[in-house]
Amino acid sequence: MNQKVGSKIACLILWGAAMLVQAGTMGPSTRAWYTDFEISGAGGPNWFRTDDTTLIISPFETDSNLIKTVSNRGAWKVGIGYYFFEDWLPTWNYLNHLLFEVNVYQISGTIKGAVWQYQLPQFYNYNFRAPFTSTRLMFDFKPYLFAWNRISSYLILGVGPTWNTISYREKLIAPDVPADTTLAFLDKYTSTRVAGDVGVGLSVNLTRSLSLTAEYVYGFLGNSSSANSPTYGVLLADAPSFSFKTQTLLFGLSLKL
Amino acid sequence: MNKDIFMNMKSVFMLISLLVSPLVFAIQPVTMSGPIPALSPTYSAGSSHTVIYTITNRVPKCLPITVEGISGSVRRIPVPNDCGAFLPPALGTIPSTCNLGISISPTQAGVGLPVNQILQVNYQGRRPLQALISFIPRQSVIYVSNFGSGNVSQCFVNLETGIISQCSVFSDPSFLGISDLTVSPSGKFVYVTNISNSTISECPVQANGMLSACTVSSDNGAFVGPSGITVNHAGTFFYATNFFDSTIAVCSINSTGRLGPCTQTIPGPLVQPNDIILNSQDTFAYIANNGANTVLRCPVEANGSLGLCTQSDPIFSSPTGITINSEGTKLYVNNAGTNTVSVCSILPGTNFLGSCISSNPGGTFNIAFGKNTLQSGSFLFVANAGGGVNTVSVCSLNSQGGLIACPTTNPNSTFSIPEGVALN
Repeated sequence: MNQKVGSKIACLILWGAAMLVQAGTMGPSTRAWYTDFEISGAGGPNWFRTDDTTLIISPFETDSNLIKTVSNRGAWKVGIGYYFFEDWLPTWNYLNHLLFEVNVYQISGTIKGAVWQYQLPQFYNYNFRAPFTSTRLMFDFKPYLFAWNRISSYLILGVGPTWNTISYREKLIAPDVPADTTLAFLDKYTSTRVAGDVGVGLSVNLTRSLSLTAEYVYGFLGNSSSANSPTYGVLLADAPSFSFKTQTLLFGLSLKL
Repeated sequence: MNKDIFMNMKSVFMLISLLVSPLVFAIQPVTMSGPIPALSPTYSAGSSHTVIYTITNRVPKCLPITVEGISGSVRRIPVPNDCGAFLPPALGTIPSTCNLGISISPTQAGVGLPVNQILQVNYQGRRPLQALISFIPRQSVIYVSNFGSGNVSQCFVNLETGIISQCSVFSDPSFLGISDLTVSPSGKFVYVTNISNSTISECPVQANGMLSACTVSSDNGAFVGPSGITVNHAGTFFYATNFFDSTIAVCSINSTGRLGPCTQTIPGPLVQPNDIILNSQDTFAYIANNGANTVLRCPVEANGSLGLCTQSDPIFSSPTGITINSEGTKLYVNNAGTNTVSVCSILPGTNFLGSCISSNPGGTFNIAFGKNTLQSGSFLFVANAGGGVNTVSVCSLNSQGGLIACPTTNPNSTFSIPEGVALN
């Protein structure tokens, strides 16, 4: 569901951008209303970060979920933007552009770790894996700081809704412990949260309209829990909840219309 | 920086944990073992058996428990070191244990109807502890050893009314001057004394309670006229009174029910001991000391051997049979000399014997070498081996354990100088 939402929003943005391009080619050569719009797309590596958490089985059993690794499957984003005050801001030496973008970001990966029952190492009887996907619709402000030749630098500040989806599965590693004590599978569940972005970017103008971009974005994505669907009849007071934070390097193209 | 160091240390520790976890950390926080004794596939209607499950808590915190699956003929009863409503916490890495006592008491109405109940202990953990309690209540069987005809009568008995019926006879080539008999706690074996050749016949019990072909005990050097026998409640040791040389034989019992090596002991002033019984905790043995008109009480050591006995005053008259109630508060002693049964209270301490009341309700006793056995404080069965009466007296008991009435019976006329009597 989460990926479908992201794909639909991305398609809408691309469709809107295509219509604007088409309108631009059909109209007179004078500066048109859409000339301050841009579309962009990027992809790159992602470093997801989460903290150790707890798994509350009952008021009398709280287990630790200790993070060992997170495997990342990368990140992508598409967006559409608008340059404000393009009539006079470019004449400044600093803060010479102010770009507002609506971007769709998506990251995915798998959290892997150890489960210590009762938060004690002698009860390290399970490992867990939690595949996740996070799709967010961000309203990003990108004030350009300064330019040098064809290169411009800018800040990234954004906020918007995010849809975090995660499921949870344990694997028994202790041979003497009954398999039916394992949380075999807790189904995926999507949580809607408010996300925030901060970052910096570099833009290299390849032509008057086409730019190459490189961005570093740190995203605060809230947290997310899997569904609390008991398997094997294991009693579970609360589903495991993980915090979502991410660092992303995005390399892409930006086309000013 | 500090956080990085911490993270690195955590990674190293977790790597080590991962590598050795199957070897070291394969520990379930809370487990349940047992029961002791093991469940029998069948239990006699009207009888009552206690089995104990042991719960081990390795978590250093107190865990509340609730118990489910205890209804009908399966009930929870208090036992020593009872878990109560909480599992006590482990002390560091030293686990705590406590016991869950289950009473199995099938009724006559349930005969033949399988009982399959899941005993479930909820301890607020990942998954409740579970154990299947499965058995088939069967018609209770009373075995009577017939010294006269050299066989064993096996009869159905309604333990709620005491009525004995449908007796058949079981004969085995190993029987030779049979005197006493006893049933293993599991109900799977009946042991019969052959006083004429000083051996024990070990007879397997079929699912319906009937006996099948017996085996003669292998280590017979310790038996010299075995007159009375019993098995401890754990089913691990066998005791016989040797009437001819005034000793006690103590034998181990292996897992197949066979008697293992035996030793002979004289733990006290034995004079023609005629019968022996252990209390339900297997901590004391009581011996009918026929030749001295006394009863001995002997402590039972952990290895099954008998410690130094203390002796009662000689208030009995040729005691031939002895049994004890499950609470360990009453002794029932057959007096062959006066044809009475003494009901004696048991006291703690050296002077263990309290007041005794001897009676012969209805004048039905003709004991001679007859033994006795008790059913859950409801009935006392007394074998009347004397006077050619060839009967068993079925004595109903009052709430204090005293004898009320003792009608006699000999269904199907199979009893012939009955000396031993035992219930299964």
